[in-house]
Amino acid sequence: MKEFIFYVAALLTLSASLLIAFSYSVKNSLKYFAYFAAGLSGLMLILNSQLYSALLILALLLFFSLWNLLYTKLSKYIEHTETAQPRVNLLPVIMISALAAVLAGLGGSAKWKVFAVNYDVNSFYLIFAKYLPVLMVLALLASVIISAAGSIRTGEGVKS
Amino acid sequence: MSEGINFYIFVSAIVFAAGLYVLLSSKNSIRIITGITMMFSASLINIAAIAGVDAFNAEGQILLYLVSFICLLNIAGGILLFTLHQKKFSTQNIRENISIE
Repeated sequence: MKEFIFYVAALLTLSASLLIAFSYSVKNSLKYFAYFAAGLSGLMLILNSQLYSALLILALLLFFSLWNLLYTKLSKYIEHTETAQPRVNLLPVIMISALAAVLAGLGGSAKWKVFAVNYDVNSFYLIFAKYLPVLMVLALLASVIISAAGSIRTGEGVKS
Repeated sequence: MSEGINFYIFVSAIVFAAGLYVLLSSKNSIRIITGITMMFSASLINIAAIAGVDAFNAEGQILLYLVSFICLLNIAGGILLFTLHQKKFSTQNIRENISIE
């Protein structure tokens, strides 16, 4: 049963994602995205994330309700087709998929060290007590330097 | 799945590639947000597969909801930015008004 759900959900997800990639109409893209979300919720269902799957279905229902309610207002955004349609070319998709698969395989095949986290000793207070304030100070400093450099470059705010 | 997480990683790789293609090839703002969401969904499939293919894993669930929250923030920010762009330039083509001087 699990295998059957997996194959149906994976087929729905993959076909919907390819249809999104090769449809240039916004309306059709959104329609196929709903199918994609349905397939994703099916995958989540068999991956022990039942709550997430239910939330995804609820979001999908909300999306369809809003679609029906606001269609007249949103039609000028939705009923739009991209004018300059690039040619359907499978080569970039295949190359990008191969690259993504190789990268995912590299991460998956590496012999990762098993992290033995001792939760009694380690806590995350250092993130808030030490690292986050340092990061905020660095960000403020960077913003001051960038804005000062920008004002010097444009000549605004420099009175001499 | 007796085969493990290989099939899920394969599905996730294809979805990620399709999302990247949508992101790179489209000019319409709604389609660009769709592409980014597809890429986030690919990472969600990976997270759920690695965390919970055998049994329920609470830490994986936390990561799943965290990434979903970031994805929602991304969608909201994207819609806001593209609406402002639409109001300013009266077009949904976000690559039209970019000029490099």
